[in-house]
Amino acid sequence: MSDLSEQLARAAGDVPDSLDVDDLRRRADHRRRRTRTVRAVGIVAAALVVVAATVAALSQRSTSTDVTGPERTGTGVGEPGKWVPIAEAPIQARRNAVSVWTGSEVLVFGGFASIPGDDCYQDTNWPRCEDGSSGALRSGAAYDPGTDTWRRIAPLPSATSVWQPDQEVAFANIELGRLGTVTLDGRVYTVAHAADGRGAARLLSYDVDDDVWKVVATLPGSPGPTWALTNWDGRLVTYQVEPGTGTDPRLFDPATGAWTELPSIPRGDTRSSDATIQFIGKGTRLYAFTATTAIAGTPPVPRYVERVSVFDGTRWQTFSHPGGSGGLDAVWAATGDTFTMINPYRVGIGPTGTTTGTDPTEGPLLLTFDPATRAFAEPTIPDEVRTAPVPGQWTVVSNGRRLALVGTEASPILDGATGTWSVATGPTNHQIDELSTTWAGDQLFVWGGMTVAGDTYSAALNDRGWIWTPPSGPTDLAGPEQTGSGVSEPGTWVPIAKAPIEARRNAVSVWTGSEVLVFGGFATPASDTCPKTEDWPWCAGSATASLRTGAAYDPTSDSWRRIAPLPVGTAAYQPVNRSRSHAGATGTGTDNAELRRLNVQVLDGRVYVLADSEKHPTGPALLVYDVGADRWSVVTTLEGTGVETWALTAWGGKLVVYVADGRTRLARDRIFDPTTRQWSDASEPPDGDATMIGITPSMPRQMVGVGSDLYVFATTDQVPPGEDRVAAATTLEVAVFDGTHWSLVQHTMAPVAGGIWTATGDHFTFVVPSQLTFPQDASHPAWGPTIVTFDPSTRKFEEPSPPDTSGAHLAENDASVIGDGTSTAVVTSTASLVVDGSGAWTVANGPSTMRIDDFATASAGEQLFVWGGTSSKEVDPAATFNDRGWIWTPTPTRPK
Amino acid sequence: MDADAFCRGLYPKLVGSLRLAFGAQAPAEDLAQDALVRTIERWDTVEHMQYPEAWCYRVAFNLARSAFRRRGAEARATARLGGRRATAADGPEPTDTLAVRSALAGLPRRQRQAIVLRYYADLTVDQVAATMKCRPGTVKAHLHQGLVTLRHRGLVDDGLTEAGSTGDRVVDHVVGNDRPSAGRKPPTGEGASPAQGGTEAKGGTDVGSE
Repeated sequence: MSDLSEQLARAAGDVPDSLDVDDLRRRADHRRRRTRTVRAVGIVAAALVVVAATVAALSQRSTSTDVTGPERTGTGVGEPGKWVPIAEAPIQARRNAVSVWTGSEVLVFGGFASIPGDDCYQDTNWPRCEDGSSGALRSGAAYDPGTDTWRRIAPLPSATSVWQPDQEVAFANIELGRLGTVTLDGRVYTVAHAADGRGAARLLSYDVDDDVWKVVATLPGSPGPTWALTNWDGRLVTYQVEPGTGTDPRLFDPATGAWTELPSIPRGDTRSSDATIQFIGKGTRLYAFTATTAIAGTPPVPRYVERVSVFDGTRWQTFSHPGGSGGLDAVWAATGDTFTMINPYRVGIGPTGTTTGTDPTEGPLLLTFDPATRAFAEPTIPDEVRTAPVPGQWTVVSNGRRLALVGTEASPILDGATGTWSVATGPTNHQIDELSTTWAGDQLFVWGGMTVAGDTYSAALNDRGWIWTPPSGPTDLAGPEQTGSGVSEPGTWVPIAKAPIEARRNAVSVWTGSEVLVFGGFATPASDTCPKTEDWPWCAGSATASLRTGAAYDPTSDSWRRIAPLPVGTAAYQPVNRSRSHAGATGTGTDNAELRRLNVQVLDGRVYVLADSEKHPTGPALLVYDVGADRWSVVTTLEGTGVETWALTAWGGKLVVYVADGRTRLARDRIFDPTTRQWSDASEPPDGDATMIGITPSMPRQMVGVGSDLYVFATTDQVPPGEDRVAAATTLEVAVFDGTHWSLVQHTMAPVAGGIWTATGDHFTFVVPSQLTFPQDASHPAWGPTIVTFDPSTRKFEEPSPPDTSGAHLAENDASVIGDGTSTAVVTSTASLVVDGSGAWTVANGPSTMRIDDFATASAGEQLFVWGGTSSKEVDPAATFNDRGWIWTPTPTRPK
Repeated sequence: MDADAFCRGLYPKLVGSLRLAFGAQAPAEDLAQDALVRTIERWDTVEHMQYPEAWCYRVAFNLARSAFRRRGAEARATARLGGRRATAADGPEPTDTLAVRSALAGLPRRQRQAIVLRYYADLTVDQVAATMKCRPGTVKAHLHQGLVTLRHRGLVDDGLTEAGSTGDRVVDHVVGNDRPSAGRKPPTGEGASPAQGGTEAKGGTDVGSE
């Protein structure tokens, strides 16, 4: 076993051999001080002993009938896909406590010890009792999922009143029920009211490090739990609505303590007297979600019109969805790149799928708004979610990506990044209402609340808590749910996680070094993601239905993320995707040698794409996608229209673009320097004696930059005089440009069509996928003898023997040639052939047994990636899009 | 042993274990230090635990799982840009190192943790069980399954028995030469019955209470 230990030690790399223990002690002391501060403040709070004793007694009585179940052992912070109990909290049981995630801890504070049936129970909003006690609790605690430990925190401030955070406000930051609390720059802010119901609301802050609560400001407006609070661009937005009145939104800057009035939200007829207006700050924009009502039909029925108002710092712009709204209790939340609306009371999730509540049943159960396209969509809720047990109460929480409807029997969870639903069953088999719940990063936290038996509140307070961890990938790095079976089974194709974008054909796919980007492509005209905006009005009904959306796949974690859509300016750009029939016009980069998608090049963390300008006269454009910033931009538009021949590659830190018009035989080779953003003409090098005329313009050509040399590959058919189209031979041309001079090497061979050059180790390999042959008497096709290698050091061509393909399940479908610089693969949907630099071939049967055309494929490091495409129209007239993907991992070379 | 010496002694292996188990290099040192801060904070309790190292590893792994979930997107972005370029500037990593990391990443989480704790961190089976909150037999099962997978991937070429052997027989052969580290308390509770293999145990070997 020493061998494995040594290998592990090497794999771990250099580990630090010194440690600043003094620094660790300082940090530990800081943590201890926080705990001591809490205890000290707790002593000062003796004035509330009577109240505390009362509620403690209530709690004790309540817990005697509490839920049954195994003893809490605090067994840790999570098992993927499961709820696990957490350690016992140092505060008493309660209902409606606020819970908020600070980034490292869940803070739980406030709430009520009274329960229905108690003498002083009045209302969850204003539990004022005749004797003056309220049942409102000030105490709080912080739970650390990393250690499964709690610490007490300072209690809520008490001045002339005991402040109690709002609970029942239907405004949303992201959480229904506890929406007036946000975390910003190490402080937790909450809107609170005096528990005795007197006076205006206060904005409170809690400093996590100093463990101190402060009253930041007295909020204007009338008393009442009608406040929205959100954080936006480092500031807080507060907003109060009273029926028919309400304040304008106000901006509070914690750094300066200054308040600023924001322009009024376009109100119209806002949603209802409950004033369900929600705010979400995201990036540089503030989003307000409102609704208008309209009366229509016979008999008249109120119809809601869901609206999203976007504030860009200067003005509001409102977008409406006329298809109805989610009703009074609808909640909007950020879910990845989009916002999602759901009404936990009306959505009707349950065995029967029936709706509940009194809102009009019209309108979508689920509605999304894409801020990039400003389009609404109405996704469906899958049956397995609708059949989840119906709890007495859902609480909606979102962590910016996942939206959960939390109940203690089952919690449906929507992953906004993938659009998929799952159900977290448990943690109990009975109903607990008014619980505290929040996302703790990617984990769901549940604590407290009130168990309910039957229809009456013969309730008991719950002092237990649980945490749910999403299913994770093989390295636990990503957290997103993995629906694929894995990404690294050597020698086999394995399915990958479901993509967050719709199925399509001819999408572009390119490997960035850590992710496969998939974008563009074409869907049906009825595609929801086919933009129907003023910028792209021709999409509706278009036969092409080109798509702008895209996503990035990380094979390490088997997870996807949506990326920004392709840009829309005065024109809509679509990457050039030549089908194999257009293979005569191709270019290639070193690691993007892919037939049909050859106009993509990765350089210094950016992805450059040559794109058509769909139905627009400005001609093609060079687009760039900044991976780190998730942003597309148009570098420049290129001259000319009707361009048919393209090539793009990276060479010496610059981009080389070749554009030609096949009809006029005009060709240009231009070099773009991303640093200076300047173009130069490669056909006119400084010494003036070298041009690229050695390569016939407009002919199929590819370019590969390797080191200081630029290689240009062209293929010219030799058509005998008098023949129209049938070539007697094909001449392969390789031109090498060393920065000053060109040299040209030629090789004439039997006629071929559609070949692709790739870099394969120290030489180049020319493969003709279309030369797959299908003998009538053979169960499998044979591989044509059209493989040519070119050794740049000797300038020699060779035609090696073709591989043995007798074991390959090659279907008669499209083949793509892709390379990663060291190996080249011919990829079909049923089998792939991979050749490495030594010339050794590997057969990778699969991933499908069906013919799939126009799929996206890329080399993901040494893995092969396949996604999307269509079933063959030749085989199936009603061809369907494939929304699945697979990845193939070569068998690793045994370590020496 | 005082807390300072304990932390200094544990720190390198803690960092390496986090790298191997979670695959991200940059946060490993931070996470290891966070775990040791908690160790110092609770040293009065930790030093009396049967396996204080196991407690630290467990806290570190818990922190890592939480942190990586939280920082996943950020880490990937960093790796895509600065991280990746920095790696390239440092030169290519040896093929066998990449192969080991790739093979480890392909193991289920519990198997990966067991392999790393046992064969990199040099914890005994009992200490691994305490770290992972399961029975020693379960650890052996994880080790066996993980080793079989690693062998298939060409990383383990010593005397594993052929397929068909029972899990415990194989694992006993592999891990039989327990190598307790100097200064570590002798392991107890070895020799869980074969029936215990593969069974997660509630209330398994405790690492101490907080």
